[in-house]
Amino acid sequence: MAVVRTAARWSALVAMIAGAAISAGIAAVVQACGGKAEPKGPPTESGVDGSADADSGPDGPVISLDGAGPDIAPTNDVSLDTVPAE
Amino acid sequence: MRVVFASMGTGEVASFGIMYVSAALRRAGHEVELIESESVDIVLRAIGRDPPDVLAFSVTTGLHRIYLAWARAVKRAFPWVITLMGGPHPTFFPEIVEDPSIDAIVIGEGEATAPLLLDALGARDGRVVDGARYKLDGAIVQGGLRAPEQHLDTLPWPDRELFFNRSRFHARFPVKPFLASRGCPYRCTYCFNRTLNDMYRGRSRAVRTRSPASVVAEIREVARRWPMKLVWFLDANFVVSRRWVEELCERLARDVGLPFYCKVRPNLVDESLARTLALGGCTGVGMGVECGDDRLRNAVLERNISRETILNACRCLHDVGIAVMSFNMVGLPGETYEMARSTVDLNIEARVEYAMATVFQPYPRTVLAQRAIETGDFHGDFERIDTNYYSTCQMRESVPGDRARIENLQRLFGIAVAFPEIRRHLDRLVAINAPRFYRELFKRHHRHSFYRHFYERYRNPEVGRLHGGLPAGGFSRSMTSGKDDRPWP
Repeated sequence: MAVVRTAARWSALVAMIAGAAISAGIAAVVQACGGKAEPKGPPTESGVDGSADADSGPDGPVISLDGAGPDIAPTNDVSLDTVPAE
Repeated sequence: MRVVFASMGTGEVASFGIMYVSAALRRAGHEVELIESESVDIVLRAIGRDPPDVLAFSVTTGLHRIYLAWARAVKRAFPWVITLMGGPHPTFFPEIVEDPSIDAIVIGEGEATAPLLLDALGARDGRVVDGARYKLDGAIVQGGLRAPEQHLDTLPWPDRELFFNRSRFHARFPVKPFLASRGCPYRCTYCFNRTLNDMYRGRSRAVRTRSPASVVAEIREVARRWPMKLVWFLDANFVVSRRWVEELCERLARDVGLPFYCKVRPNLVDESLARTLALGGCTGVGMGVECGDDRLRNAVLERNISRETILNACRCLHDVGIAVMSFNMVGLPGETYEMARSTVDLNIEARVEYAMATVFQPYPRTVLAQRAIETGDFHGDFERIDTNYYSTCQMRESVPGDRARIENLQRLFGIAVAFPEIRRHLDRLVAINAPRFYRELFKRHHRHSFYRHFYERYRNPEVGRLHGGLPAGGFSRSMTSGKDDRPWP
C-alpha cells in the first residue's frame, strides 16, 4: 500500500512537471510569434475572495481554473496568475 | 439608480465585497448587475448596450492600475457614467479619487456607505457622506470616517445571485464561501487589519461576529438553493472567541452537517480547540506560518509566535484529522535567500499538507511598508506593486542575486515541502533561470494541492472521525440535494 501511495505521489509530481514544461513551451512559442503569452488576472484568495482579498489572504485562497489538474474538468477561462488569497 | 459592477473575474469563489455591497444596494432599491471579464473591450461593449448610472469596481492594490485604465476608457466613451471605487485600495489610498477618471470612492466597509453615496450623487446637493469622497462640480466632497457596522446580523446576506445567475460555474462550484466574522485583533505589521484597527480605534470592535444562528441559517439557505459540499469560511481569524467558536461548531454539526474550512492562528490552537473544530466538521484550516526565521517573524512581522507554538498547533490539528494549509511569505524586508529557505524547513517539520507561499508585497498604509520605506528596503512606489502576490519581489536585495532566487523559491516552495526529498537540491533549482516553467509548475501544484487536500477532503474516510463517523459518502449528502451528486461542475 505504501508503495502504491509513493508511486501515486511521484507520478503526480511528474505529471505536473510535464504539464508545466509543455505550457511554458507553448507560451514561449506564442510569445515568439507575437502573441499574448501570459495574461494577468486578478489575485483571488480563496481567500476565496482572493484578493487576497483575500484569504491572504489566500481568503482565499482561491484559484482559478486554467491548467486543470488531471482529474478536474476545466470549466471556465479565468486565468490563474492570480490565485486568491487567503 | 442602476449600478454595474465590473470585475476582472474572481476565480473559483465569487467576490464577497461585491456580493455584500450589492445586497445592501438592492435593499435600498437600486438595480445591480455584474460584468465579469478580463477584457476592457468586452466591458465597454456591455456598457455600450445599456449604459448604467454607476460603474463600480472593488479594487485591491496592484489591480488598481487595471481598473483605473478601465475607468479612463469608460469615461472617454461614456462621460456621463459615474465611476465608483471601493475595496482595500481606495480605503488605504483615498487619494485615488483625485484621478480624473474616478468620480467617487468608498472608504472602509461599503454596505452602509454605498446607498447613502448614491443618494448624494443623485441629489447633487453637496451633502457630506461619511465613509465616502465624491466629486461635485470639480470639487471633492470629503466625508469623515464611518465606523463599521457592529451588529453584523443586521446586514443582508451576500447577493450570491449576482454571480450565480450569470455563471453556471459559480453556481455549481461545490465550495461556497461564507463570512461569519470580520476583523482580527492582532498587530502583524504587514496586515491591513492592524491599520484598520488603528483607523477605527475607539469606534469599532476589532472583531465582530455574527450570531451562530444567522450563520447556520445562511448556510442552510445556500445549500438548499445551490450544490454545496464544502463550507469555506473566509474570516481572517475564525477562532478569536473560543465561546463563539464552540457554539458555532455545535450548531454546524447539528444543523448543517457539511465539512468546513476556516483560518486559525497558531497561538490560539490547542487540543481542545482542534477537537471542537473537528467535531463541528472542520476538515481543513489555513494558518499563518509566514516566516521560518524567528527574528523576522517576531521582531519584523510582530507575529509573536514561537516555532514551538507553530509545530504544536499543527500537531494538535493533525491529531484530529484536520489538514493544514500554511501561509508563508518570502521576499521580506532584510530577508536573505537562506532565511527564506528556513521557512521551507519549518513547514517540512510541521508536516503541513500544503505550504502556500507568496512574495511579500508592501501594501499602502501598512506598518511594514512604511518601515521598509524608512530603511530603504522598499522604493516606496506603490504603483509598481504587481497585480498579484505570486510574482515579483519589491524589496531591495540583501545579497546580489537573491531577488531571482527568492522569486524562484516562491514558485518551488510548496513542492519542496510536499516532497522533502528534493529539499537538498533546492539551492541548485532556484539558481536555474526558468521563470515561465517555474510559474507554470507553481500553478499546477497550487491547484493540485487545493483540490487534493482541501476541496476534495470530504471524500477521505479518515477525515471527520471525531464527527461520530461520516455519513455514507461523506459529509456532503446530509445537505446537498440528491438531484445531482456529481462532485464538481
